[in-house]
Amino acid sequence: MTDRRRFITAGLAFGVATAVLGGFARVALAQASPILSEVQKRGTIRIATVAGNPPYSSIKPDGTPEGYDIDIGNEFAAALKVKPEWIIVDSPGRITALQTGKADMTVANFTNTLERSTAIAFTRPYVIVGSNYMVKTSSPLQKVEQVNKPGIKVGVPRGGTAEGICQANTPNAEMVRFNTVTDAFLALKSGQVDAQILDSLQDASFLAQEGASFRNLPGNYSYEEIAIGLPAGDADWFRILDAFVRQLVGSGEDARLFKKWFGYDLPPL
Amino acid sequence: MYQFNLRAILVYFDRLPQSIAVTLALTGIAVVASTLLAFPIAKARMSGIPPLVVLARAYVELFRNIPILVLLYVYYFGLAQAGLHLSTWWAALLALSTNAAAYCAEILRAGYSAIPSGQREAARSLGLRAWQIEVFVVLPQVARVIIPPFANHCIGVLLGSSIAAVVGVADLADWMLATGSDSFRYMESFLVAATIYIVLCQGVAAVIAAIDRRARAGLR
Repeated sequence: MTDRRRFITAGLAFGVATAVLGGFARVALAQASPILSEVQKRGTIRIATVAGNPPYSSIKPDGTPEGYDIDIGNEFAAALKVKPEWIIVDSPGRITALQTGKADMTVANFTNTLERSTAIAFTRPYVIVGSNYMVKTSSPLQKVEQVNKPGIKVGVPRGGTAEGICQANTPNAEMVRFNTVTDAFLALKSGQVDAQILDSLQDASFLAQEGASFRNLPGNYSYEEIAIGLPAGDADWFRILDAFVRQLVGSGEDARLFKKWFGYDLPPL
Repeated sequence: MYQFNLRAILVYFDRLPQSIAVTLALTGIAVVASTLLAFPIAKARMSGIPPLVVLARAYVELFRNIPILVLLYVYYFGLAQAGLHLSTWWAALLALSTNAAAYCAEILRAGYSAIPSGQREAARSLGLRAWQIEVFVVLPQVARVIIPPFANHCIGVLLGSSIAAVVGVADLADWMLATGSDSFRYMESFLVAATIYIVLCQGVAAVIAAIDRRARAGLR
């Protein structure tokens, strides 16, 4: 009786093991990129982006996203013949979404930094930007050196590159972290902070919208390669996305989309 | 696959005690302030004087039905545009307190209504003055009735205080977000923060349960 039971148990265990191993082997043979095969099976590609970050990405009143980054993501989805599914995250959420497999990629005004590269992967850049300190036109601040004083508040979006720029260039000022770029801008607008650190292109678009109320302090404080982010460890998925960016830039489509959303020519890459 | 590694965020632990202190201070001050604010609201609600009743009901319904996050935005960004510049700390404290006062007023009202009117009548017949009836007869019994719901209320305020991190108040939730974004070890920082929140809530519950036991000791 016990022998028979043991035999059945062994048989079951063997069966399960073969099924599991066989399953792995099939996946490994059929598709080089696990992410691509998932995306194709699902029929949708999950793209993470940030809200409140015009003209890169913002949410229309009807709940759908729009912007430069959104157009790029939609073009990639169209190229793969799958439907884009946009996932809205905050700045640090871009990394978490990729790390936890909640998103297949990001198009989210996302700067490729060496620190981030240790956690996730990036394609080549599709636009290169700098960073500025922005103040109200009426502000007494004229130079970034004047910002670097205790009691001066600098607004930055949490988890973005602006945090590091603030610590490096104005360590004596008080840094106030917000969850989105628009929150930080609102804080500047309502006088809750004295200055804000912004992506130079975004800066220009805020200046264009808000007219004469704001100005930039002289000086550019960063070199930022804006790239598509993807989970680390899937070399074939990287190869596909990187080829997409190379062709997006090379074909002039990148420059066309940029002009559509920013209103002027793409700065040299 | 995400590689879980708690050791990767050990270097951020030295900032934990301070952020826990901020969370506890925010919670403690908000609980005290909201309780003080809740007394006149509950009294007005029970006063039977129509304009006062309407005002108290309006306060409770208004502040109970606005998320703390929205209150925080109104106090921090909205008031600033009107020229009143509250710091992130004060805006967060005000948002928590005005919200908590609405809940606390309802808890107090329930506590008062649990006291049989015979208690007041008996006290009056013994010749006690109105304030003596309130302080020596009614309040001790109200306190005993409201302790259990008050414990839940305190835990609600403690958890609600995490919203302050949205505008960068350096509390435990801010530590979690900052540690995650600095080290890219989000799961680890979420887990550490969640564990500490659980411990803090259990601590608050234990303290209030001890008070409850003492308050009931006389009833045995």
